[in-house]
Amino acid sequence: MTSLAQADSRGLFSWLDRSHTVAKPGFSRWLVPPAALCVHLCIGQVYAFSVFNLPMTRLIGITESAPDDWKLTQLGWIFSIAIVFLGLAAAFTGTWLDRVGPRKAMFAAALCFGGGFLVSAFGVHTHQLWIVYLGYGVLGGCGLGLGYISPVKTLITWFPDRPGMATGMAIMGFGGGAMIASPLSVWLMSQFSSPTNVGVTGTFITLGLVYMFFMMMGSVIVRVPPKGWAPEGYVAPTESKKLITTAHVHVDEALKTPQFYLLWGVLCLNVTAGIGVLSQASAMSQEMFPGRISVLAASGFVGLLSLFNMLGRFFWASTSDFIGRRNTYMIFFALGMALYAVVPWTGTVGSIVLFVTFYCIIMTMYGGGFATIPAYLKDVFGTRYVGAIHGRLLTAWSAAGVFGPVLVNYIREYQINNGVPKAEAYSVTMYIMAGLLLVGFILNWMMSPVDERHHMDPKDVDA
Amino acid sequence: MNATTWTPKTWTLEERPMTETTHHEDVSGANKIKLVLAWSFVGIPLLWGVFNTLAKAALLFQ
Repeated sequence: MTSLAQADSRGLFSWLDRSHTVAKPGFSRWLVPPAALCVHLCIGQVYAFSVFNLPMTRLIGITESAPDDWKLTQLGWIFSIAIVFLGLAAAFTGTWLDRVGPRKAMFAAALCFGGGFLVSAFGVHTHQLWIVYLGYGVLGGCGLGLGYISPVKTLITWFPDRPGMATGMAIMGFGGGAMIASPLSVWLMSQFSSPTNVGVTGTFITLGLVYMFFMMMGSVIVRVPPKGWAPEGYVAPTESKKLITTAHVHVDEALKTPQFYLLWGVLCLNVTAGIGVLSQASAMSQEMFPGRISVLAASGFVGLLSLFNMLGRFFWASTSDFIGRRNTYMIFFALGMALYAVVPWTGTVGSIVLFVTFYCIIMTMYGGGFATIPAYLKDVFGTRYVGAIHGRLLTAWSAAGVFGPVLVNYIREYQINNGVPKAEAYSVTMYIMAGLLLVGFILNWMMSPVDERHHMDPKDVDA
Repeated sequence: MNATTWTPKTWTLEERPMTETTHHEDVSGANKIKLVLAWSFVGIPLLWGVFNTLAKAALLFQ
């Protein structure tokens, strides 16, 4: 096993090493959440990438698509490739991140994500789509994955008394990033556009440089606590209780436990239900309330869901510190089932207020699922490899990113093709989502402590 | 491979990392300014995004 000290480098980049990020006396741990937010607010931009889709279909034609312009179906792959590489990078760089520490990982994420925009700008300028796939999709996607997991373990070690709240604050940024990126991108495109240019190239260059700067600021601010550090007045538990262990499980060993797969299923099902609805929110609101929700109002509805997605990340992750992670997920699944089941009824009675309210609550639990999972993993597998284990668990997100929208789209198409009115076409989908949440409830209910044979030998924990 | 001899790091008082015996947080003076700056750095863009979102969402209930 490689020791932490061996990961240190010399020369120009030695300031990125873990040994140079150890906090000095007087450092406030409350500086770490904004460092994490610097990264998560930037990479959360991925949820707003769709604002570039229409302008990129008019790069040659400017006012309308020319025959040689890119098609929407081709552009949709940019986001998909980025999400796939997010999952792959999170899964495969977890152990490297654990070795080198958060600063180097956040710095690398900044170079990848910002660099991805710059490479894509070149691709847009030369009208070579494969360069955009490579830039934002592959390079940017790696930045997304690395940036997403890089501050998680650091936050958990700085806040052993409130791990849910700490990771919730960072992951809240990922939900909020799109709310900044969407209006910023639209404004930048309006500034860079001209009668011969839609302004995407200039916007990509600007965003690339701004995001690189913001993320690097995060890497400068971040610190790791020294060994044995604990917040004032905090006494670490000496005995495991219920699902909270005091032992540590190696990342490779974690994959051999049923608990890893139960949590994989729990995250996947919670995300599948939420992402399916989120991807269709605009169309669904207009079709369930025809003539009452306009296209503009529907975009406002999508924005509102993003806001509650963000708030839920902080609220539920913080709440989980008091009521426990398993109970938090029990609420997600039980309340989620009830809400998904009654949503079609809101369309029947024509209540927009109830429809919006129920969906906002559902979205808090979708975001809450993402934000609570790192603390859940810490409880079950210990802190030593929580970052790496979290990275591997995020493959559940990639899977859900495919299942959710496909499920909603295909069921809707099937119903409409069989003569179901559009306004009622989502009912069956909602009941299926409620069914998925029932499965999630059972998986979460089956969670138990990891068998002691998977625990690390205490002498290997510091290696 | 570089065969330089490793020597243990000697910390100056200022460089000395926190240990379990020095775990108190200094939240006065310069640290408070750093906290305000760091939280403003991320908080202002986030609030701007929230404001924009709420302004758009208001259309839903008009």
